[in-house]
Amino acid sequence: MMNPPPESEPAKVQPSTEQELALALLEREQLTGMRHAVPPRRKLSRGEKLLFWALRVYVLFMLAVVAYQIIIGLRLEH
Amino acid sequence: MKSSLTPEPASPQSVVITHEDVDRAHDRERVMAARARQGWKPHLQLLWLLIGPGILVMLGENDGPSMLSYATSGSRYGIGFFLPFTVLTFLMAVVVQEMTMRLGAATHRGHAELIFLRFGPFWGWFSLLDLALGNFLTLITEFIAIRAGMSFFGVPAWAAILVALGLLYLALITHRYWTWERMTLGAALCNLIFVPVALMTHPDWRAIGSALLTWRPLPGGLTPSTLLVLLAVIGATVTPWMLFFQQSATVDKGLTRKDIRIGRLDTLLGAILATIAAVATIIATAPLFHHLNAADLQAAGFAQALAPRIGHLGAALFALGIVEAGLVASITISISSAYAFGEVARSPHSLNLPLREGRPFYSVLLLCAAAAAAIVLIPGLPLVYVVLVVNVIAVLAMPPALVFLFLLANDRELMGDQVTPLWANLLAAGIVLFLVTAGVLYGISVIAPGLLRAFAH
Repeated sequence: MMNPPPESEPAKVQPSTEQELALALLEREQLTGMRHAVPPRRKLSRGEKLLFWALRVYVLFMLAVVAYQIIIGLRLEH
Repeated sequence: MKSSLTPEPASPQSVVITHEDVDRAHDRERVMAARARQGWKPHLQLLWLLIGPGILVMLGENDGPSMLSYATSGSRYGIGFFLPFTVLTFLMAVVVQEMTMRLGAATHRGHAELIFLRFGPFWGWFSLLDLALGNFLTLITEFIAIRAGMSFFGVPAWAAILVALGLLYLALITHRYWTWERMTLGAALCNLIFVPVALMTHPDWRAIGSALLTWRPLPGGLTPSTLLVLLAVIGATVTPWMLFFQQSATVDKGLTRKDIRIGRLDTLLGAILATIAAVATIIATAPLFHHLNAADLQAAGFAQALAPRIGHLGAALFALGIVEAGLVASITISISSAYAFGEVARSPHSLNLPLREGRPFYSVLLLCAAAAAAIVLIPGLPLVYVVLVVNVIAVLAMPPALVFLFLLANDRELMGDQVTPLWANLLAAGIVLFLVTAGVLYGISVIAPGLLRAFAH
């Protein structure tokens, strides 16, 4: 999903003076045309992997708790 | 020290300059001109040019549900506990938001984009869906707040919703980040409308000073219902959309590493203004302590309950404040969804985009808002309950979002010399721990309320 080209109409090319202004004032990484330069995927350490799994468990547990709370709350409403 | 994002030097022949780039370059031209001059006037001008995302995110988070949460805590528990607690939550928000601003200024990438690129598609989509769901539910509550606030003035629900959608659209039609930001900032500053309302209640300043200094315990101890309100207040100050919004807005505004110092000031200023508005709301509703029943716990109910104490004008200001809070947040939250979608889908995402170039961006933004607004018109929606649950969901979703932020802000490959210093890392770790503990306590209160009651006594 990260690689397809923009789905909207192609960006209009600006007149040369405007181009020069943008090239002079913006940092290279700020230019929309330079956004294809992507950093490599980060290699996770074992500790970070463990942390991410703990987060998954936390989120699932808490979502279940919230769902339970919502069901109880709605029953009380009626 | 450069980051790994730095590509080969650009030349006029190799890069297509877009409308978005030119608009941003014009904004940078004014910043550079102000920075080049000496004296206090150019310094003030520089501040004026660079502030925005920090104030918007903080005042945006003082949204309709948040103001109702503050009002609920003020009316149910007085000022003894929640006044200092609210100040503390804003301090936490400053630490977190400073990291997002720094990430945006150093990498020129949005939060969703960085998660996707650095941690892979699973966590990228997880964060996006997490954000989209949370934002959509929150948007519903913003329109609930607008509807409830406008009902005080006798405006029918459909008209209130249409006006809100119209104003949201109006803020976008300039297709210029700078103009949008200034218009929204103007509206966001109206959040301070709660200050005159608080003053109208003739607050006891000695009691307020004492509450801030001594931090009294919660009246009635820690019960599941007080824990829900406690989580709602935490959710009122630190939520995932804030991380995504401030980072994307920082990128869209065009801030660079040189602007980080003023970006910090912007965030701090926003937190101070938001704290003043939040504290004022608690103070304004504190006279209702013990005098309010559950049926009054919505915007119009609060305003009507306040009317005998502060008069019709004060009550009207309170209702107007709720409308403003919902409106500004509906703008910033729907924009944070559109930014994140654009970053992950790699489609253009900027408020500088002309309509024909940014069709997917504007479509996501307006569709989210319109769908949430339509749901609010469904009769029989349990208003206050939805508001509280949304804030609680935000608290539960916050720890993963904070972990990603924490890792990204410490990513030397991305940040170079702007990695988070040790003291800020210790603070951030403390905040994550605090939020996870709050979430777990909430879980215990739902599954085994008896256990918590035994602990409280």
